[in-house]
Amino acid sequence: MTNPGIDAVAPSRPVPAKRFRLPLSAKFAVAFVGLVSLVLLINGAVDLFLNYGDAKRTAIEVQREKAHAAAEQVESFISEIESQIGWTTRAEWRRVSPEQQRYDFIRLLRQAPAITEVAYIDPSGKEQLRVSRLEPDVVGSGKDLSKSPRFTGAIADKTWFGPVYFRRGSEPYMTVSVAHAGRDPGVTVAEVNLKLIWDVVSGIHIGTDGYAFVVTANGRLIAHPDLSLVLRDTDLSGLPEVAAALSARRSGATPDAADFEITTALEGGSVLAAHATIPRVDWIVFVQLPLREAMAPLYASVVQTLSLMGLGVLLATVAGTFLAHRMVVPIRQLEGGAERFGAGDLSERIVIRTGDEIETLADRFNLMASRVQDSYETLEAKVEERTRDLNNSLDDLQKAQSRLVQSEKLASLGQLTAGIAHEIKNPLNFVNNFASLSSELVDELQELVAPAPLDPKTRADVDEIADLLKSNLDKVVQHGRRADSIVKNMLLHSRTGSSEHRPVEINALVEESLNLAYHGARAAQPGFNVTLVRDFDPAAGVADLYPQEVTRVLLNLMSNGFYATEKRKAESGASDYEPTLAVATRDRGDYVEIRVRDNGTGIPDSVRAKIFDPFFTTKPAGEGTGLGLSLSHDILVKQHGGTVDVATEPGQFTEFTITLPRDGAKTVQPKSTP
Amino acid sequence: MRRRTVIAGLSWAAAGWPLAPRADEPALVVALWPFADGNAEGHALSAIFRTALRDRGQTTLRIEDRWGGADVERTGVLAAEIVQSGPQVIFAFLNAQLSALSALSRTIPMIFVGASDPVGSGYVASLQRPGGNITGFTLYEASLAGKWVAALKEAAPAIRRVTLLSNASTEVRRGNFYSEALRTAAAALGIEPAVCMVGSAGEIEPVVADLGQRGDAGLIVAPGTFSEANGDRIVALTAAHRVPTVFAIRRFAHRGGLMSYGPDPADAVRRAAAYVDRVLRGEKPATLPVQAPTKFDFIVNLNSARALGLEISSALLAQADEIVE
Repeated sequence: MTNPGIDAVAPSRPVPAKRFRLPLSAKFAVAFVGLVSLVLLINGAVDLFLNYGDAKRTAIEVQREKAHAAAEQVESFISEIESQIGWTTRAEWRRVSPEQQRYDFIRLLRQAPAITEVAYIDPSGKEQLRVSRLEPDVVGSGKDLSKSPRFTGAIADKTWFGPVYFRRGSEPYMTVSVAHAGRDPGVTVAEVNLKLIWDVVSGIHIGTDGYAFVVTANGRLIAHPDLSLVLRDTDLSGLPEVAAALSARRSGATPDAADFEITTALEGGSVLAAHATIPRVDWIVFVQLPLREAMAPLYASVVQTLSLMGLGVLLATVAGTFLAHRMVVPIRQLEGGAERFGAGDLSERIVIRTGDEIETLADRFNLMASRVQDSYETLEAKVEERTRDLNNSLDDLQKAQSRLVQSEKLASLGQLTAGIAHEIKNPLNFVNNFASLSSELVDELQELVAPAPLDPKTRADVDEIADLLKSNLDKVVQHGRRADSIVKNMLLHSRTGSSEHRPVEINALVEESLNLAYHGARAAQPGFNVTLVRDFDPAAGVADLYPQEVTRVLLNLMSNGFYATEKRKAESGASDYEPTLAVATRDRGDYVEIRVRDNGTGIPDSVRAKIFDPFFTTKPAGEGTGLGLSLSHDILVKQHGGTVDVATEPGQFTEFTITLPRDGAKTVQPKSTP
Repeated sequence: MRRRTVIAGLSWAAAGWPLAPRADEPALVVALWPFADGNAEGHALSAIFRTALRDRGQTTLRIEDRWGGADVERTGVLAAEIVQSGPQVIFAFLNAQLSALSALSRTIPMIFVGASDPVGSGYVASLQRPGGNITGFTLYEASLAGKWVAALKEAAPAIRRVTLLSNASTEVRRGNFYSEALRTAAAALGIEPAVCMVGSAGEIEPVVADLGQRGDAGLIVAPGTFSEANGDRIVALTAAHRVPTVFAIRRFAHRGGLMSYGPDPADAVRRAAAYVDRVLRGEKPATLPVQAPTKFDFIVNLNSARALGLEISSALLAQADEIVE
C-alpha cells in the first residue's frame, strides 16, 4: 500500500535510492520462522549441551565398569586355574602314591583345559612328575629345578606367575606355580595356554563393536578377540592408551586416576578406552569402544534435535507462508478495495470472509463506502433542491423587484398625475360651465330673435349661425366632460380608500360586476354578443375589501375581455368563432382567487410588459384612457395586498388571475393611509 | 529415551546397509577333501564348514566341495581344476591336499587344516607370520607319537614292539614326522619302535598279519589321507589279527579301534572357517598365524579291549575323555 503523504512530497526532494521493500507476508513469514527457529535452536543447543555432558559421563562410567568387570573376569580365569591347581597342593599330597599323583594331574588337565602341562617339583627342587597333553608322562625325571624362579618364586610367594612366553613361536603360555601347603613344601607347576583367555576375552562384549584386550606389564599382548594378534606376539606398548597406562603405572600414580582416554585404536578409528589392572599378574585389561558407538546416544540426540529443528523450521515455514498468505490475501483485497474507493468507485464492496479483524476492517471499509455513497447522493439531491429553491427565490425576487419598480414608477406617476389633474380641473370646470352656459344663452338668443321680423334670408343665416354655435358649444361640453372624466380617474390614483371597506360576498360581487359589464357593453354596442361562462366556487366566501374599487377592477377587466373578443371577431371574420368570457372564483384558504378569461386576440409579448403602465393602451385614441389596468394594479396590490397576473397566448386567450387576501384591506389599509 | 532409540535406530539403519559384494557374482570357496564322495565323515565336516561360515554372516557365499579321496593323482587333477576355477579362497583338509594345491598357486589364499609341519614343508615362513598365501590349523604334533606309545604300553603292558603305520603323505623333508618322537618315547619305555610305510591298501594286511603273529606288538596308525581312507580296513584287520592299535584319528576308536588320541577335527574346521571368513573380508593369510590345537581327546573302546583280551587299568580309564562300550 502506498503512503499518499510520502508520494506527495517525494517530487520536491532528491529522489532517494529505491529502498528494498519486504512485503508484509515475507516479514510475517520471516518473523514467524525466525522465532520458531530461534526457539528450536536454543532448545536444541541446551539439549545438546546437557546431552553431551551426560553421554560422555555415562559412556566413561560404563567403560570404567566394563574395564573392571573384564579385569575381574580375567582374574577369575587365573584364580580358577590357581584353584584347580590348588587341590594338588594339599600338605599330604606329596605322600600319596605317584600313581595317584599322576591320576590327580590327569584330572587336573581334564578340568582345566587351559593347562597343557603340569609338573610336580618336590621340596628339594627335583621334578618328580610331569603330565602333558602332548608328550608322554614323565615320572621321577629328577630334573633339578631348585634354582628356577618357578620353584623359588612359588616357595617365596606361595603362588608365582611366570612371564608370558611363546611355545613353538606362536602359542602364548604362562607358567603358574603354586607352592604346596605345610612346611617344606613342594610346588605344582602348570603351563597355561593363554589362548584360552581368548574365550574369556571374546566373551566380554563392549557395546556392539567394542572389545577387551589384555597386555602384560611391558605391553605385550596376551589376550585379544583377534587371536592371531596374540599368536603373532604383538607388542602394544606403542599404542597410545597402553603407553599412557604403562607410564602411569611406572610413575606410581593411583591406578584409577586416568583410567580412560579417547584415543586411536589398534585398527584405527577413535575409541573410548578404559583400563583396569590385575595386580596379581601385573596385567592390564583394556576395554575400548568406538567413540561413534559410545557417543551414539549423543549422536542420536543430535540427529533428533536436528531432525526436530528441521521439521520445526519446515513446519514453521509452511505455517508461516500459509498464515502470511492467509493474512496478505485479504489485505491485498482490502488494498484493492480501498484503491477502488479512493478512485471514486463506491458501488463495489470488499468481500472478505476470514472471520477475523480483517473481515471486520473490510466491513468497516464497506460501511464507510456506503456512508460516503449515501452522503454523495443526499448532497446531490440537496444541492438540486437548494438550487431550485434559490432559483425560485431569485424568480420571486426578480418579480418583486419588477413589481416594486413598477409600483414606484406608478406611484410617482400617480402623484404627478394627481398634481396635474388638480391644476387642470379648475380651468376645465370654467370651460365646461361657461360652454354649457353659452349654449343656453344661444337658445335664449334664438328665442329673442324669433319674434323679430327679419327677411327670411337673414333669418335663415341667423338660425344657421346659432345652430352652428350651439353645436360647437355642445362639442366643447362633451369633450370637456371627457377631460373631466380623465382628470377624475387621474385623481383616483392619488386618492385611495376613497370608500369604506367591508366584508363582501365574493361570488355576488363578481356576478354583479359581470352583469353590469355585460349590459353596459350591450348598451354601448347594440350588436354585441358574447357567451358568459360562470364557474363560481361556493366556498369562495367572504373577503374584506373595498367593493366599489374591486368592482371597478372587475368591470375594467371584463370590458377589456369584451373588447378583445370583439376585436378578434372583427379581425377574423369567421362565423364559427364564438366569443366567450369565463369568470371563475376559487377558495385558496387565506386567499380568494378570481379569474377572468377571454378567448380574444391575446396580448403580444412586446405589449405584455407594459400593460400595467399608466397611459399605455392599445385602443384607438379616444376609446381608452390607458389608466384602466394601471388603476386596477394599484387597487389590487397596494390597496388590498393581493396580486394580479396575466397569462396569455396571442390569438388564443388572455386570462387575468386575481388573488385577494381575505383580510387584505384590513391589514394593508393602515399602512397605505398615513 | 524411547524416541531417541527410535531415531537412533533410524540413523543406524541408514548407515548399516550391508557392504556391496565386490563383484556381482558371489565369492567362491572351494574345499578339497581327502574323502571319497559320499563319505559320512567328509559330509559331516563339510556341513560344519558351511555352517560355521554361514554363522559368520557369509550367506551369499558359493562353497564347492571336491572329493579327492586317497587318490593322489585324482587329488592332483582336482587341485588343478580348483586353481583354474579361480576361487577367492581354497580350503584344504590334510597335508596331501594342501601339498597338491600349494604348488599350483602362490596367490590364491589357502586355509588348511591338518598340515603336519607347515614350516618344514615350506608352506609358511613361520607359524607367527606365515608370510604367503597359506595359513591354517595344525592337528597333530610330532610329540604325540610318545603319547600313542605310552597309551599302547599302558593298555597292553606286554608289548615289546610298536609299529607306526604311515604313508608317504605324512612324510616331511626330514623323514617321517613322528619317527623321532616315537623312537625317544619307545626307548624310554623299553620298546622297539618301527615305522612302516605303506603305499597302497593291499600292503596293510601283511604288516598287520606280521604284527599279529608276533603277539607282543602294537600298532600306531598315524594320521593322514591314507589312514582316513583305510581306517575301517585297518580296524577290521587289527581286530582279526588281535593287534592292539591306537589311532591318531579319533573316530576310528568309535568304529572298532582300541584307542585313539588326537584332536577334534570338527573344532579345527570351525576355526579354519573363521580364517576363511576373515580372508574373504580382506585380511591376508600372510598375517594370520598358524594355530595348533589345545585339546586332545583320549578315547578307549572297551568292546575292542575285551575282544583283544586286554584288561584296561583304571588309571588308563581315568585318563580317557570318552569310553566306548
